[in-house]
Amino acid sequence: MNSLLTSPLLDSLWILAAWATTGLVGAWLLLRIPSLSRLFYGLLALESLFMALSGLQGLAGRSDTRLVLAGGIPGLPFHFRQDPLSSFFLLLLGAASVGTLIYTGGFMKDEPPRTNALFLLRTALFLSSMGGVFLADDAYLFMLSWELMALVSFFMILTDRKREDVRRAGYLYLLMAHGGSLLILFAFALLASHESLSGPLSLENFSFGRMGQTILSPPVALLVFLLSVLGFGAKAGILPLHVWLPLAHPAAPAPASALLSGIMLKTAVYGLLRILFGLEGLPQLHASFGIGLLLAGGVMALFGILYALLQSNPKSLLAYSSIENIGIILLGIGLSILYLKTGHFAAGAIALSAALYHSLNHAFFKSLLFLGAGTMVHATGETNLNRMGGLLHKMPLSGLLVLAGVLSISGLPPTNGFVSEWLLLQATLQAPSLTGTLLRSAVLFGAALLVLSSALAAMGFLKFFGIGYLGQPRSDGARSAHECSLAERMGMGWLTLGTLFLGFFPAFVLSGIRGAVFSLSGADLPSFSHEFGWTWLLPFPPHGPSTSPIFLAGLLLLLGLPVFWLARLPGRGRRRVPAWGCGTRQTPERSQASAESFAQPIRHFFPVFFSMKRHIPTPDDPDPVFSLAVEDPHWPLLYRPLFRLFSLAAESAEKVRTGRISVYLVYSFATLLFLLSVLRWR
Amino acid sequence: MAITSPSPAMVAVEAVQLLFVLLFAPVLYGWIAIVRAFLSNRTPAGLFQPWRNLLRLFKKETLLPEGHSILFVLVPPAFFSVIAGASLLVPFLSVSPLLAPVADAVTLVGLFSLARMTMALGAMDVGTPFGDMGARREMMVAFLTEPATLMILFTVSLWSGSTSVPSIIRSLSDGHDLFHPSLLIAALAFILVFLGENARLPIDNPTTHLELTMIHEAMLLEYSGPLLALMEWGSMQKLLLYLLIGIDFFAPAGIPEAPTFLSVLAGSGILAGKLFLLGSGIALIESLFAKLRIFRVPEFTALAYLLSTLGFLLHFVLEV
Repeated sequence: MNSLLTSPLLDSLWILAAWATTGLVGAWLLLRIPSLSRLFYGLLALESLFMALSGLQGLAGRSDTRLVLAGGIPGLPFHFRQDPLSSFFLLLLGAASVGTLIYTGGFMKDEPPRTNALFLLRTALFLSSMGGVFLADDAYLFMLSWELMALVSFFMILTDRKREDVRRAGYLYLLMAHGGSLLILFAFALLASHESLSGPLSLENFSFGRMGQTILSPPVALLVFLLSVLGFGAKAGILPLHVWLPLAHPAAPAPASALLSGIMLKTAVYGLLRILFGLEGLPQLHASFGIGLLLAGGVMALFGILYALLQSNPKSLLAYSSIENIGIILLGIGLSILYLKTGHFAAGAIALSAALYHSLNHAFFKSLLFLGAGTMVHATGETNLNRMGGLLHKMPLSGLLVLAGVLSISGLPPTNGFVSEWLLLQATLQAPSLTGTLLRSAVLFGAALLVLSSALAAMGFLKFFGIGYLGQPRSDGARSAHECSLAERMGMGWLTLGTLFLGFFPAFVLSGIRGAVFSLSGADLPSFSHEFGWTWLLPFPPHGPSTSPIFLAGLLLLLGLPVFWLARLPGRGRRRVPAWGCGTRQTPERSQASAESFAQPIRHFFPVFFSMKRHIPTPDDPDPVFSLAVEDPHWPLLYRPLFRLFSLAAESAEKVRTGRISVYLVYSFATLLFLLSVLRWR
Repeated sequence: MAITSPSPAMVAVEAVQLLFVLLFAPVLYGWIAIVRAFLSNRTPAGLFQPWRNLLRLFKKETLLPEGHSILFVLVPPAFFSVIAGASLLVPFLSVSPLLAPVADAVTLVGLFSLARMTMALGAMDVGTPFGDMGARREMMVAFLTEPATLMILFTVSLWSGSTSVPSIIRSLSDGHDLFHPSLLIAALAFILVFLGENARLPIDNPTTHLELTMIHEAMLLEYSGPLLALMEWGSMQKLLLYLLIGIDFFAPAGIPEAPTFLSVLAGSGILAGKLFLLGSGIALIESLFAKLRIFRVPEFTALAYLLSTLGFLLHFVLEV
């Protein structure tokens, strides 16, 4: 325990307050002087930068500080705590939001002042409520921040509230968020009430410090595990609860999507880690929990990327890909529980750091890609990839930044996506040290799903970039596209720099993550003591594998430059000619691949995953129309039957409502009699 | 694992490795064509025909299609250097070359997918239907061969418990007299992956002139002159590197441990022998099988993926 004055906790709290104040003052001023918008977003970005520094300081010093402030409810004041895990997520929050905030300044400049002011206020409150989630150390403060975050993000999705689909998406999101909160609350209640064995139940039991000392019976431990996975899963988009994600992201403005997907999904990861490792505690978990999480994550990853591949709207593509990425993170957490519970601490630490590393990576490249999708939509006025194309000519710089994000999310070396995938694969390769076929097969299955979905991700993002940015423009909007504003490019540039840093210097990042992993699991990563240790990804003892992204990048650059020179040098010059295209002389605009045709092999090969409605016209059809609709099978198989059941129940409940006061009096009388008889029986 | 202080011999081995791959890859291509011609009673064009083709392309003028972006010109050098970079990282003239620690087997597979991605980006750049189609088909083949490759290397890495290629070679070359069903299955899967990744029959016909059935060639249709030469040369090196990785995993005997002049010379002799043998094997496969319909291709690659996963599982069931 460090002293309060040297710890970053106070700084973090000040920044939370600063965010909220900037938002309130900024919104008030923007209504009067709209031109100040970029100043206030810049101010928020500066505060985010300080938040990142505070997180960094907490990670570097491995500080663990608590603070109790007056407030809250009687008997339960506000508890704050910044331990390495909180510091890690605060770093993620601060560092990734800097880019998004700079971008927002440029993105929102043409909006009416009212929209702009409201968006500023919501963004600021959103940031500080997420910070509150990471710093809360009691159930009340946690739920308060959690609900505030859900509400503010609901309003962020509703920015364009006049559109019907936006309102529907927002409503669904609110429903899921609140359902999830109930489950989380129930998990907290179980954790808090089980301590009452040793003493009287008091509100103080709802502080995380007390909850962490509970002793749970195995069925209750399982129940808490399930409740927290489902509760946080509703926010993270775990598989059947993901349906709001692909609807909410296209509905929300790009910066809101970037914050929602890049950062808010990580609050669910944080909550899950906090409950499982912190409050329930490693001794009370069971290896089978790990298997469950591992398999759920693997299936989520595959499902998410398969659906991402089919999307024609760039933002729904990215939303489904978020499901994939959260699946990968859950897979890592499951793997680490499995290893830690079977006594393989090194492997468990690697798996857990892979999960955290991937959270950080995803925060950067997914924000970058959502912002990129925002510029695509802004520049063309189209929301469908089939009406874009050739944007790299019109938006060269932002296009190249998006390309960096595309290569990273596809997990190609030497980018950051590859680093976390590599770590996760190394962790799965420790499977031979496990005993029992079940455990080994589960890990093997996870590894097989992981490599399959990462290969599919490359295809999905080739589609995203190839259809959107390459080729020739497919619509007037795409022909008249323009490069985005400087602020937007700067925001995306910040995120690209972060992505590159995470890819090239994994040892620095891991040395920060080590603290969080150690505080969660008590296990440590192999040490980084030798010379030039910082260039390596992870030095395994004694002669294990490693890899060095920075060397690799240097090597590729060193080889690439002379080859590039070779390609330009000889021959008899170069000439610009019409594209060959096997002799077709038409302009290629209409004959290019469409978003659907690009994914056709996948649809053909995985028919079981998709519920498709296809209409193929017969040859003698006078008005031939080809149509294909692919739907998420969770709608016809789960949600619509569920909705029907609810409306059926509601309708049958209607029957008791007759509208006559005498009948209602009978109802109240019968209820009274029933309650009295219950009392009598007791 | 750190790079030990570089001795001149080790630097020399790296240089020889790079030169070997650069110079020998077209020769191997020529050899496969010779054996194919021999098997189908045709007169072969000679061992150095691919080299002559490359040199001719390098002398030609570059035609740049209208509406290309900067990526179009950047892709061939990038593709080429990623593949050439891999030749420094795969050990074949010494068990542990200087730069081998920079990339373990997982990274090598990642490099190949980086190469594939750059090539597909170049293919989609102009927006001609054939380029798009080629890119799509290439990814359709790759989304199963890439995981299969990873599963294969996981299987072979189970003996050493590490994915670093030198330690895989060491663990497989000593104490390796038993029959391992998992290795057999992995080798089988590797053959399928090899055919799929390098655009050989029955997945893709490297000598086809029929655009509608093309995969690899369709991606190169817009390229000409030195740019095309770089793409072709890179693809030839990729084929050679896949064979070299296969040799590392399944037939590592004869790779010299110490980088002395004589051992490298002997090692490269043995290696060339193995490569000519494998090249003949490829030619035989290509002569015996017809090209698959494009929709049957995922079944073929899925078989590779399934076999590789099975190999991994078999190791746990039978061999531990």
